[in-house]
Amino acid sequence: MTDQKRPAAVPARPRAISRRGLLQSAAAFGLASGAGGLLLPGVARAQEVPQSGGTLRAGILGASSNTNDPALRQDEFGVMAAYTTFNHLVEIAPDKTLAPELAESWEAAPGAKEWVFNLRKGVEFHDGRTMTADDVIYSINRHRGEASQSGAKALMAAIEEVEKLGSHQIRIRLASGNADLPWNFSGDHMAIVPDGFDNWMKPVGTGGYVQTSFEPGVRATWERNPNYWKEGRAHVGEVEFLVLNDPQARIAALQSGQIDALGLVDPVAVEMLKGSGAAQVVNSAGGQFWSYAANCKLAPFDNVNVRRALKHGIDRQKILDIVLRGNGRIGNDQPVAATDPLFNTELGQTPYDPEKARYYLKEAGLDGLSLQLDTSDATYAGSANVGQLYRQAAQEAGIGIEVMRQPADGYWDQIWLNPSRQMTSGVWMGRPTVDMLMSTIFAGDAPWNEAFWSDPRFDGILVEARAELDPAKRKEMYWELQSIIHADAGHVIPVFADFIDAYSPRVRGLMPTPSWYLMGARFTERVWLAS
Amino acid sequence: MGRLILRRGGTGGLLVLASTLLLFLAGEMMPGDFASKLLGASATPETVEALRLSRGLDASPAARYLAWLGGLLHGDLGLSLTNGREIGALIASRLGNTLLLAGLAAAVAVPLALALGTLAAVFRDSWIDRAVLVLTMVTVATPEFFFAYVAIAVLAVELNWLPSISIPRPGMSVWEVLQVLVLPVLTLVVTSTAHVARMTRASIVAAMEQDYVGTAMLKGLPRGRIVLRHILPNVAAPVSAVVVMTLADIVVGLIIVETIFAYPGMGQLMVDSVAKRDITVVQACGLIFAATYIFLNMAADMLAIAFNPRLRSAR
Repeated sequence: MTDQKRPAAVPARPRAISRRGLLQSAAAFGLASGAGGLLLPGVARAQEVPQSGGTLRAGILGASSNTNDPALRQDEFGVMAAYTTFNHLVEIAPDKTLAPELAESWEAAPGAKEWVFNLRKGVEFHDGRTMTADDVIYSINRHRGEASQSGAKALMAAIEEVEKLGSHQIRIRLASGNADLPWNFSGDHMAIVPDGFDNWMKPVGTGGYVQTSFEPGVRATWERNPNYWKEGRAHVGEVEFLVLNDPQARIAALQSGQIDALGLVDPVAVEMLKGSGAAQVVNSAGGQFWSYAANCKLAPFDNVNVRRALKHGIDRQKILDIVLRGNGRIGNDQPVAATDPLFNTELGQTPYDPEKARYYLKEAGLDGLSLQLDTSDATYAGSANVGQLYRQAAQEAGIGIEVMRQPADGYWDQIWLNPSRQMTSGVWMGRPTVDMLMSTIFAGDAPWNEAFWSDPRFDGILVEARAELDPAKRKEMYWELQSIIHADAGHVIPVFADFIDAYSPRVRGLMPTPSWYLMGARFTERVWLAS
Repeated sequence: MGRLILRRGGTGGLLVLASTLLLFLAGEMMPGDFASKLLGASATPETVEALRLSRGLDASPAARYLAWLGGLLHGDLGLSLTNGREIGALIASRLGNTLLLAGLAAAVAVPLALALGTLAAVFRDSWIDRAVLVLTMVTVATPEFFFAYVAIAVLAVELNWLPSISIPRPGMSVWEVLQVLVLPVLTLVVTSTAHVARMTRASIVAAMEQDYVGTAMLKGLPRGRIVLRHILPNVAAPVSAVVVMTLADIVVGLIIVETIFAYPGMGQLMVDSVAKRDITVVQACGLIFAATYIFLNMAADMLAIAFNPRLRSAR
């Protein structure tokens, strides 16, 4: 389960060009074009009038320890359940912009330290109560304070005060400016629940579906919320999640028609599923990337030339072709996805160049280099094979890599972020904003600074950019940050892997969504079923 | 006999006690920690410590072991580390599911194995015998997971006759529940029948060499009567021991089968809990599996003794 340690469903930033516009014109000609140029009945007929009803069944990763509490949610189950039962203040729309959800509008005072959110009126919870500012304040404050055990505690730590201005208006005061604050409320942890609510076996939200049963680690069911406030959403009559963890059983369940939706599809299974005709495969290019982090606190990786040698000693295209089977794009050792509007398009691609790698080793005063690379299936399936491809490529450059195959069990606790390891593998799902991404992994004090890298100039620009509201200046600063990471940081980022989902043929309204699996985890309210 | 049962029961009790100690030590030695797994993003040292404290993990291992043991004696399995729920309640529904699956598998596997073994022995060297021998050889060499995947690929995906997912829904009719259980039961039956069938055949073949069988044949008794009245009672001891051991195998084989078919039983619960480092639940599941194994072993011993007066008097 790759998302165990990370809040995986926090979606990536929108891409500059809306793919929906593209789809609409394509559909007008009777053609369909997904991210990979594939033919999808579900996408092709996206312009049909959605039908209501039916039961949407999904195979979801989960465990008997799962809960409906968005603060403590775990696994894919917690993420998907959160977007089915609850709404949030904001939503990342299918056209990849930040759209209002329970907040109708928001505004920042200059400096981005003070924000006012205007809440939607007349929204009812599943139990009939009307949502007000008190509910929103409670929902935010649950994640704050010393006693909080929430996964969003770090994200909400910058909030100094949440203040009620009226029955449907709140003001949030931050310790320091953050121009991206509204994006923080799109994540699954930040679901809006009724004031004082804590009965997580019977959750109450404002979302499109009301949970009707919940057996942790087995299944959960929902029926459509008859009073749902959103127009043209939540089409299906009933939703059922079946907890399926065995990789083969998941694919078999889809092929034999027992489920309609499956996220986290292995690239190896893509051709087979497409060939079988029993499934529609949707590739969403987005922010998911694989990382190799060289420990910048350990010699010789504290030398930037050694790090540059490592970056030139990897054959990215080969990894994309062989392991991902083309379901992704090559990376350039910086974490911002090409689908992000803030992606630095002028950054030169680091090629596979053994000669150059040798040159950088010489610059560092080394004739050769040998290191241990930790891999584990805890990160992604086939992680050790990717390590072997790196080993082969690096050999040409005089870099000897010993690929360590660590057990999946305990990898995140014992090996990853362990300051005595030389180079570890990781996987990242992307974040809604570039600031979140860089503050999580690259800032000197980042909680998950897997390369133990720190650069005061980088940290300075990062803080400055966070409070900047002017788009042109933001872009300039974020481009600079990407270029610093690309050249200096301890990260080798070989590839960005597509989010791959598969659906049964009767599912309609499908659309590639760059934020996460299953349409940015919002599939239950966006798809419909053809009869 | 009564004293014997008491003595065997005492040994079994000691074995269960020893397994509690082993389970506890294994739990202590597992790397990783439930708190950091549960807290994820906010797993600062302070929050991890706070959560560990709230679950009583600050006490010494010896004190925790004794507390656990004390609870067990009162039938209290303790609380889950991850969600704080009663393990007893958590296990109750899962155990029922597991017993249903194991019971169905045994109800099919045992008579089937006895019949196949008897037929093979009676028609020794015929095509029936050879078919049974080859079939059992193949199935005994097939791991559960392999057979399960092949069965899913053929019966569920290709032919679409049966569901590949065995999650019973509330409100299902008995017929529907049985349908959902066909594939896991089939897997368990196929992989557990072979041992018993071969043992039955070997025992009967050996018995048929005995003088009393020759006498019965010379007397002109019909073959069926010889097998049923004279041979079967004499091979009951070794065969019953194998049958009981097979039951134990089924219970243990459940861990894999339940995981593949997503069946909500004890095996799946245990696998889940290991992944989440919910040690208290792992220990409770492990204890139930260990106790089942020990009990069935004892039962096999006692059956063997009951069927064989010589063993009884030798004691």
